[in-house]
Amino acid sequence: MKSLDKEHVKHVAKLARLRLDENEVSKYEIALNQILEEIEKIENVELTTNVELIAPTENHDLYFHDTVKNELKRNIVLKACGVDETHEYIEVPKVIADEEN
Amino acid sequence: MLVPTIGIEVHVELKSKAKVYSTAKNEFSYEPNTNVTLIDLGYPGTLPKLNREVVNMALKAALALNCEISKDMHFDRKNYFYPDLPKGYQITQSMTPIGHDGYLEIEVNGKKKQIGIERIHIEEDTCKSIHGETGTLLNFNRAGVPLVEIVSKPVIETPEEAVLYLEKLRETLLYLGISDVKIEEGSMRCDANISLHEENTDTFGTKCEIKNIGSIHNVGVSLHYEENRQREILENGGQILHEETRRFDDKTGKTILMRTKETGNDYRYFPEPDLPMIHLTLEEIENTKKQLPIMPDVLRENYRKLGLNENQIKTIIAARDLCEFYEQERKLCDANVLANYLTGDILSFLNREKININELKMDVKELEEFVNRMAKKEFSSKQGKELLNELLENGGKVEEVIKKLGLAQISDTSVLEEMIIKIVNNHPDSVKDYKEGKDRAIKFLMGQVMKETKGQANPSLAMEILKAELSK
Repeated sequence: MKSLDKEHVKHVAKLARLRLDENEVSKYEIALNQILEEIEKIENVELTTNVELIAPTENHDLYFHDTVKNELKRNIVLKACGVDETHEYIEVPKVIADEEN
Repeated sequence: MLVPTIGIEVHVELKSKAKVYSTAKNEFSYEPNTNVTLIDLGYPGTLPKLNREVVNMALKAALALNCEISKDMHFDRKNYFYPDLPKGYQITQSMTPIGHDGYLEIEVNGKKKQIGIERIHIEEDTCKSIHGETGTLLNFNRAGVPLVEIVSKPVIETPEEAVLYLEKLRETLLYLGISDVKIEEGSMRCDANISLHEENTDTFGTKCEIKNIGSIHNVGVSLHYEENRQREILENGGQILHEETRRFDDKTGKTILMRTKETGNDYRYFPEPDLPMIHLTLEEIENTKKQLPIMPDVLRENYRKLGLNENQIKTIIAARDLCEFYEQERKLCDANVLANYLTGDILSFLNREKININELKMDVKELEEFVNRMAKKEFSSKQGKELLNELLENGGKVEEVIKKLGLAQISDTSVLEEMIIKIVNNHPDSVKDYKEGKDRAIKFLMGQVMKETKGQANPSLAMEILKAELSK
């Protein structure tokens, strides 16, 4: 069942600030519908137990013990975010929002 | 009559060495984006791992707040989209908070009252956003800093009770040694909610939440303002239609509308599959309980029994390092005299020098000797002050400083006796006054003894001899 059309793709692209040409719109219309179809399959899973699955592993109590390691150098962090390495902050488009954030 | 109902939510930064789900340093830094790993940046494909120390610290807090402990815990995702949270969700505990249904006892006008604790749970902080003119700057040093959120039950009845609750909570967490709990530095953050309802009814009114209030004092001020604002609306026939989030402006003392509030459903909570389940054993819980430090309420009682006054008790308990020092030293010298000097001259010196008690030049053994000799009244209080100041400023041994300042005492009974007999004989009027019950007379004669000895007579011994001579 096709649940997502070209207009939806354009709308999502607009929200995500992506510029898509018509070929790309068609391509993503197919891809996104395939994803939705996969998700629909979940509806068919038979639930024979009421036990809530929290984690996909039965291991528990996996911790690390308060050690500091693997910190990244700032220039590497900034470079990966497309920010000039000499800066201090990662800059994103202006956000107008609540102060507590 | 309309009465308020108040609930308080507090976020507290825990002071583990590493962050809660990553091995980045958990420490304030003036260098932005330096305490960061791939996990804090929310890189796809990275997996969080839980810091055991954070669980230990949160468990201590839950136990100190008399909570039931969730032995089987998992974490949950709280989903929202914002640049301060690049992975799109905060890892928190929604369904199985580490502690629930506890209480904290406060004293309201001399009466004890238990303030119910709804829950205490572990979560991560977000990164810090700085909103500029053209863009928003992100600093990920704060991303993943471990927090506990402590939610009170809506049982607080006045803004004053809210303040007492927060002061007590702050003190408790400080003594657990799990947080700096400094509101001004953001390691403790308070949100308060308040609604009004008719007395003796079960239905609560619509509440408003006041966010991020900058001090415990201002929690009281903002709740007073909000209580009056809501009362005015309701008493004039109006209604409070929506739950609102408001902000306190400390310049005007008013609360300002930020937004109408979203509900829990908007966050699409679901279990966090990237962190396995946690099981706390009874043994772990009991061991942690045994390791809890002596809490301020117990200390307060102990100090009252020792005879300390309320001001001294308050001053000692307010500073944890001072209190730890007192706890250790009070068993080694006179507890009352120590409390006097610690909360008086020593504290003034520490404040003036901007140092803490463990940074004193003065050796603790010398302090003990000083305190014990003062307890025996070997020196007058004026001499004691002089001696202590020298010890605080320059350190050294009590005995040497006594010599250096020329404070060596005359404690030779025969020397004092001879001098006192002479003074008594030279002042027959004062002797007569004393015998007629005029207390001033003995003070005058004692003054003469001090004048004669240039203040070096052992005061208690001199007084003893003087009284003996006068009773002859």
